Amino acid sequence: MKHNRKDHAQDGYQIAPEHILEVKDLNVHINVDDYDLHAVRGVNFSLKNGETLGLVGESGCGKSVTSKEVLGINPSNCKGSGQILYRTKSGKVLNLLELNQDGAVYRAIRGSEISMIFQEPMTAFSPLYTIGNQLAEIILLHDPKATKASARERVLEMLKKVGIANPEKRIDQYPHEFSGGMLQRALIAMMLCCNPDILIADEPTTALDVTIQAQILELMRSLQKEFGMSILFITHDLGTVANMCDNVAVMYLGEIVEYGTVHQIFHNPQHPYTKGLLRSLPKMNESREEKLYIINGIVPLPVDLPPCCGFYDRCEYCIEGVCPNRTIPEFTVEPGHMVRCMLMEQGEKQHG
Amino acid sequence: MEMKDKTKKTPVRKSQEKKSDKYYYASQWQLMGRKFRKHKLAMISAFVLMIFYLIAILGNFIAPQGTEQYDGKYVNCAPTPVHLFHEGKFVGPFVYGLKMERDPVTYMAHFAEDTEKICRLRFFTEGDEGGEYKWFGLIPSNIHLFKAEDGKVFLFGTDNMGRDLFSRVVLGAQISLFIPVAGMLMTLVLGLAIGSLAGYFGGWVDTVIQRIIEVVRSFPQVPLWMALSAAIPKTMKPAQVFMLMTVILSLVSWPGLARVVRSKFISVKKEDFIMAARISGAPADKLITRHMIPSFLSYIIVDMTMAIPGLIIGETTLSFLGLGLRSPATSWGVLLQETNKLETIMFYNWKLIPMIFVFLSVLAFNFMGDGLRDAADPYK
Amino acid sequence: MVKFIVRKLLIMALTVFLISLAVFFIITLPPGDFLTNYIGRLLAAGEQVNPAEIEALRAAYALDQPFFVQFWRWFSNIILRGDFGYSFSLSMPVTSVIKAYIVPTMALSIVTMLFTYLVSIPVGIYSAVHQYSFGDYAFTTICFLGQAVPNFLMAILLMFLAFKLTGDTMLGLFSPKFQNAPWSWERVLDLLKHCIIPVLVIGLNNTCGLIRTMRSQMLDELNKNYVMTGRAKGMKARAIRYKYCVRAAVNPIASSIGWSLVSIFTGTTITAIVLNLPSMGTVMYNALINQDMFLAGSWLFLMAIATVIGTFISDVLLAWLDPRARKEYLKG
Repeated sequence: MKHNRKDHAQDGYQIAPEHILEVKDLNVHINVDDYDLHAVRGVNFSLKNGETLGLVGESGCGKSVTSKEVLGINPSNCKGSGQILYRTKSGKVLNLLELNQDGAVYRAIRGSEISMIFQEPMTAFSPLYTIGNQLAEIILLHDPKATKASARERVLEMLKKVGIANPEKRIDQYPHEFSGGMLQRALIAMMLCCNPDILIADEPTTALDVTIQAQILELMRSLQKEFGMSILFITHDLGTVANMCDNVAVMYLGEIVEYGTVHQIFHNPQHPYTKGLLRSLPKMNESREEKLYIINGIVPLPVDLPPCCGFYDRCEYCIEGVCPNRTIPEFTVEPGHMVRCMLMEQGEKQHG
Repeated sequence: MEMKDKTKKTPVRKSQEKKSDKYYYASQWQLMGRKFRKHKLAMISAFVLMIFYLIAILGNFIAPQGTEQYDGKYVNCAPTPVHLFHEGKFVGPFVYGLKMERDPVTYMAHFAEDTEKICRLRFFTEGDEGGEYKWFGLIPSNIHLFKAEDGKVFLFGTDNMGRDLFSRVVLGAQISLFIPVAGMLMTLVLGLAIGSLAGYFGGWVDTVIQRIIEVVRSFPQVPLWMALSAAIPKTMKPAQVFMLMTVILSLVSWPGLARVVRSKFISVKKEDFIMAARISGAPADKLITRHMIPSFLSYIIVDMTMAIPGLIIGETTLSFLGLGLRSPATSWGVLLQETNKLETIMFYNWKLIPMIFVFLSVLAFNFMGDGLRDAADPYK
Repeated sequence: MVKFIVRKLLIMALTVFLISLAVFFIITLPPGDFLTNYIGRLLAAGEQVNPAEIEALRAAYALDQPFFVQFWRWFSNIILRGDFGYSFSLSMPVTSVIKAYIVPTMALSIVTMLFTYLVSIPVGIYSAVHQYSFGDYAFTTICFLGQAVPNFLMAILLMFLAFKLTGDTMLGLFSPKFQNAPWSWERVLDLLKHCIIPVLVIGLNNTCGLIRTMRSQMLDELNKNYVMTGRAKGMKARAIRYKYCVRAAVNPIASSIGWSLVSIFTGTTITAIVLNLPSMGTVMYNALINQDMFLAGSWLFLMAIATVIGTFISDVLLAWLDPRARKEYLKG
C-alpha cells in the first residue's frame, strides 16, 4: 500500500535541463496470490523534451507496469521503489513515487501534464455516458475556469483535430456507436485536451486493423509536432518503432537489456534478444518460402529470480556458468548505445 | 521443450521454473482442484456434507427406531443426556432411567432423570421389535448402532407421539437430502437437453422453446410448487410422493438452467475450436456432447450446486406446510410441522433440532458452491 | 421505443394466454371435479343438497364438457367480465375475496421492497469497495446465514423472540385492540409494529441475495478498464467509483425491480401462513388445502400475470437505463 506517501514531494531533486522525465533504478513488485512477481527490475531511462522513446518487448516484460508506475495508476498490489523524477509545467522537479497516488498533486499531473492512451479503446470508455461527457470531464477536472459550454467547444475542436468526421453529431453518441479506430481517436483527443507534456501510449494500435494502425500512428506523429509533447511509446512491434521513435529501450523480464537510437538498434543490435526480435520481423524482399524466425520458449515468470541474465534459457549464445549465475552489468557499445550482455565482455577481452 | 533441456543443465533456476511450469502446463481440472482445496470453508463444507450423506445412507442402522415405531409411554420427552461418570465413578457411556413428574403448579407432565437407575449403552446390538430394516433394501437386519440396556435413550428427545427425534432426523435426512439431489439431476437433464436444443439449432426451435421457458418462468416458484404439491393425492405411498416431489421440484426449476445452457451454447458456437470441429466434419451430436457441453460444464456444475439449497428449502417448506410428505413418512420439514405452534417452541424447544440440520446443510451447499465457483475460473 | 413496447406487449398477451392454459390444467389436476368434492363436503357436514342447484352450477362451469370448453368458459369469464368464478369454501365470488386481500398484500410487498433496496445497495457497494475488510466479511457471513434459514423458520424464530421480549407474538397485522378500531395514529403505529417481523422475514432472503449480487457486480465494474482511464484522466478514485462503477453496477439491479417485487409478492405467501397475516398467501393456502379450485387458480393466475408485468417493467427500465440495451431493443 502506498498510503504512507506524502501529498507534497520533497524538494531538491535535480534532472538534466533537457530532460522532462528521469526514471532511476525503478523496481516494481506485484503481489499475486502467494507469488511475489518482481515485474520491473532496476530500470533506468530518461525522456527529453519532444522526444519519442520506444519501450519494446514481448508480453510480460514489464513495459506496461513501468509506464503505469510513471502515471501512478498501477493496482494497489503493486509496489514501486526507486525514483521517478518529473519536471512539472511550473518547473518544479518532483519524485512521483513519493506522491500519494490519489492525492491532489498527483491527480493534477495526471491527464493534464502526463496522459496515457490504452491498448483497447473499446473498453477504455464507460459505456453509460456519451463520448462528449467523458471528454469534457477531463477539461472540467483540470481547468477551474472551464464551463460546460467552453468544455464542449474544446471537445468539438479536439474531435475535429483527431479526424473525427461530423463531430457535432458524434459528440453526443455513446462509445458503442463508435468503431475501434474512432474510439482510439476519441481517446487520443481526450488525453490531449489539456496539452500534456508527456503522452504514454500503451500499444495504442495493437487492437486495431492494420490500415487503421497506420492512420493512428500518422495522427500521433502530426499531433506531436503540433503540441510538442514527449511520447513514451510502448509496443511489441519493432516495425512501428522504426516509424515513430527517436530512441529505443528493449525490455526483457523487467530489465532494459539494450538502449540506443533507432539507428543503433536497427543497424547494430548487440543483445541476442534484440537480434531475435529483429530477425522475427517479416521482410518485404525475402522469398515467401523462408520461414519467419521465432525465439524459442516464453518469458518466464519473474518469481524468486536469482542473479542471472533473464534471457539465458532462451539464448543461443548462453555462456555456461556465467550467464545463469551472475548479475549482468551494462556495457557501452558507443555513446548513447548501452547493452546488458556478457558477450560484450568477451568481445572486449578479445579486442584487448 | 528446449527450455526444459536447459533447466537440466542449470540447476540454479530449477525451483523457480518448476513453479511457473506447473502453472502453465496444469490441466484445467487440476487447476480447479487446486483452487478448490485452497478454499477452506468449501473444503470443510464438502466434508460436513459427506458425513451427512453417509449418515443418511446408513440411516436405518444408525437410528435406534424405525419410521413406524413409537413409544406411547414417552411422549414429549426431553433429550436424555449421555453420561460417562456415575457419582464420580467411571462407568462408560450410559443414560439414567426416566421417571414422569408433574409440575406442581401447572400439572404439566415432564420426564426427569431417575439417578437410581443406570442404563448402559450397548453398541452394534439387536434393536427393539419393529426396528427391522433391510440393508440397501436387500439384506434384512435388526442391528443398530446403539441402544440403552433396559432403558430409553432419546438423544434429541421425542415428539408428541413418543417417536425418537434423533431417529426421525437421521431417517428424515434420507428424504431431505436426496430429494434435492434427485430433483437437481432431473433439472440438469431437462435443462441441458432443452437448452442445448434451443442453443444449437436456433431458428424456430429456439423461438418455441424460448416462449415455453418464458411461460414457465412467469409462474412464481413457491406458489407453483404449492399448487402442484396440493394436487398430489393424499392416499399415495411415500415412495410415490417422493418421486412426484422430485418431478415437481425439477419441473419448476429447469427453465433457469435451460436459459443458461442456451446462452452458453450461442456464445460457444462462435468460438474457433467449435468452428474447427465442424469444418473437420464432426456430426452434430458429437459436437454437442464432446466439444460444446464440456466447454461450459464447470459453470453448469456450479450453478447446480448453488441450486440445491433452494431445493432443500423448497422441500422442507412444502412438507412443513403439509403439502409434501406426510407422517409417518419423515423429512426434516415434516418434523418441523410440530413447531408451527408457539407453545411447542416454548415448552418443547428440542423440537427445533431438525432446523439445525436444515440450516447446516443449506449453508454447507452454499459454501461449497462458492468454492466451486471460484475454482471454475482457475485462470482468474 | 414505441415499436419495442408494442412488440413486447404482443408477446405478453400470448404469454398470458399460455399461462392461463397451464393454470387451468394445474387446478383441474386433482382427481374428480371440484363440484363433486364440494357436494361430498356438504353431505359430510350434514347439509341439504339441492340437485337443481348443483345442476345449474355444473352447467355454469361447463363441467360436463371437454377440457378446452371448460377452459374457454373460465378464461373468457376472466378476460371479458372480470369474473374469476366462485369460491366454494368461502361461499362468495372470488373477485370479492381478491378485493378484500389485495391491499394489505400489496402494501406489505412494497414496504418490504423498499427495505430490501435501501439496505442491499449501500451494503453491496461498501462490501465491494472494502473487499476482504472486516466489514465485508461480517456482511458476507450475515448474508450466508440469512440465505440458509428458510422463511418459515425465520418467522417462527422471530415470533418466539418477539414473545420472549415483549410478551406479544405480533401475529396478524393488528393487535386485537385495534383490529376493528377506526384509523388513528395508534392504529398506524400498531400496524407498523406488526410489519417489522414480516418485512424482516420476507425481505431478508432477497436482501441477502441482492447484497451478494450488488457486491459481485460492483467488483466486476471496479476491475474494468475504464477505471484505469478515469485514473489516467486525474479523477479521484471515489469520483470514478460513484460516477461510473456504481451507476453500471446498479443498472441490472435497478432493472430487476419489477421482477423482485413479484418475488417478494410471492415470498409473502409462506410468511403470511406462519404469521397468520391477512394476505393472499393465507387465502391461497386454505384454498389449496380445501381444493377450492377457482380461488387457488385465480391466485396463481394473478401471480403469473404480476410476474409477466414485472418482467416487462424490468425490460423497459433496462432499455431506459443502459444505452447499449436501448440500441439492441430498438433494433428489434
